Amino acid sequence: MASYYLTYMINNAFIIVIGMLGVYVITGLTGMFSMGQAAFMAVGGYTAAMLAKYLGAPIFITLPASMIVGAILGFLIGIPVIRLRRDYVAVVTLGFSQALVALLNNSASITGGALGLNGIPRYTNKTMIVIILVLVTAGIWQLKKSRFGRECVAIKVDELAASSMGIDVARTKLIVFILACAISALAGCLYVHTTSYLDSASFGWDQSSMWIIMVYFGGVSSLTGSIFSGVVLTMIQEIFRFSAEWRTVIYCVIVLVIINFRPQGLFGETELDGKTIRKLGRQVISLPRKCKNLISGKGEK
Amino acid sequence: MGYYLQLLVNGISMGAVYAIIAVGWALIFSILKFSNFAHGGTMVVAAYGGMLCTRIFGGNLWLTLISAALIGGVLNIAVELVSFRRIRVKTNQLLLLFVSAITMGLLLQNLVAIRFGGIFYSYPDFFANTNRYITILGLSVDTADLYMLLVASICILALILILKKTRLGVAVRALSMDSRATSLMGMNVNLIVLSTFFLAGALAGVAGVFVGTRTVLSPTLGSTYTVKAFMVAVIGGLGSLNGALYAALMLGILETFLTSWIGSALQPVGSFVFMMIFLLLFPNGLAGNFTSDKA
Repeated sequence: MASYYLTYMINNAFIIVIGMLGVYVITGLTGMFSMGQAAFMAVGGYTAAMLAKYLGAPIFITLPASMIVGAILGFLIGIPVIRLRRDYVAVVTLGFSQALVALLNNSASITGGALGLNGIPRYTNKTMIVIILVLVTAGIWQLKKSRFGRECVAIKVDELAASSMGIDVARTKLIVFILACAISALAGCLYVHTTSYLDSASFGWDQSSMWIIMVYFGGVSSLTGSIFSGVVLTMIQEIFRFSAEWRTVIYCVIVLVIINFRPQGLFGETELDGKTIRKLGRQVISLPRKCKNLISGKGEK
Repeated sequence: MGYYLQLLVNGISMGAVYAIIAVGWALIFSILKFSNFAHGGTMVVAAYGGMLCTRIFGGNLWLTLISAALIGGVLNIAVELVSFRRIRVKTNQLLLLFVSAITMGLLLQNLVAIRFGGIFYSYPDFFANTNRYITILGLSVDTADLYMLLVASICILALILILKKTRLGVAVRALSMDSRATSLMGMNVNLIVLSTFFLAGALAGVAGVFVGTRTVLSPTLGSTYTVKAFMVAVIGGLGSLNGALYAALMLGILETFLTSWIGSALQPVGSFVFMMIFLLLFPNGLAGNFTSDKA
């Protein structure tokens, strides 16, 4: 039983989390909204699937290829809207995801249409997925700590102030957008090589909005919080798998409560790094003493 | 020629439905400055509610419309109280409102799916006793479409009257310019927001009935029409009611023509390309610079 959930977690939740990290990069770093991030996962997935199925390409070709295609599409979508208000980024990505699903369904001879593609070679194993997740997380972590990452956070907080400090807002946003698209495409590539099956139905805007919800649930300013909530919420879905609708309802209620009563998300600004763990550790160690003080009436006051 | 005129008429009646949804969307955007993604959820709940009401009222179109509008309005008030009120008062972060709206939209749609999913429901035929088609100047117009156009025009005229002539309308317009100054002038901002949500919800309810009569009811109508309303609102210029109106007609006509040219399956691709080109040419939408981030 435990091993089943472990396998499920690695094969499904971790891949979803990699895709969701694309949303984290866009929303968590610059505050833009991509309502069609799952479409970029589909782009990566279909690129990898077609290369592997029709040309027999190995994974060290399909993986970079899907990331590059994702990045190019991100560039093309990003260019017209990156200078506009946040809502425009949202609407264009939303329109893109709708258009892509329609296009995939209608080129059935290549993409399999609504029936999907199957028989795609399985290249991945559990270790590989874990390693890639760790690598991507480490990369985003470094990016967030770097000068570029701080520029992004400045844009998120106040775009006008950031540009008056000499930050090239449009350029930074475009780079972040392209990066996020490449990450989501990478998730698509891993997905297709893990399940060996792909159809267009699972990449609509419902999936994309689910990712936005996950990021906010864990705390939009906290990378570890987003990953934590991504894994937890995907596992909740697995536990309530008897009914897709009930699952989403429970999920939405939890998220509404969190957003209303803890608007900064579960983790807030805190990252689960060495410092926080040591702090938590100290609190746990001092817990018995505090309890003793409380009982004997020698409170902190 | 006659064929294209026919398409044009169909497109306009299609656009009329988009217009009542998108005007409600734009109304909320204009006062709170965020995209209310729960709007489609309200619409679909009101559509199912109206369908249940037809079992009580029989095939009376007007009673159904009024009850659906009431359901939509009351539901939208509940949406505001549950998912926006606390965030608005405590933090007023637009991003959080946005996420809350998405969650609420998903929640409403899935609640409908739990109760009504699996079986397709449809409205009774409101026009069984009248002619199905009316011929005007050689064009045959669907009676349902004609009624839809009529009701949509009445709704939008009523909304314009409310906004221009009543105290509530003045308050809503004031709130859309500056919420702080409005509350300093002694107006009850929360009450104005609630009444705006009621108006928008009532429009969504009316739209829900017409969406239901055009097609079969299904819970996913919520997300479909959310996407459409969002596209219309952006093309029209966010928060502008006039812009939303024209953009809705434009999108309705465009979709009808695209469907006849490249088929309904590829039509979203055409709409998307049109929207990209439009935003490249007119980045602020039809209405120009209605809302911009203030310096």
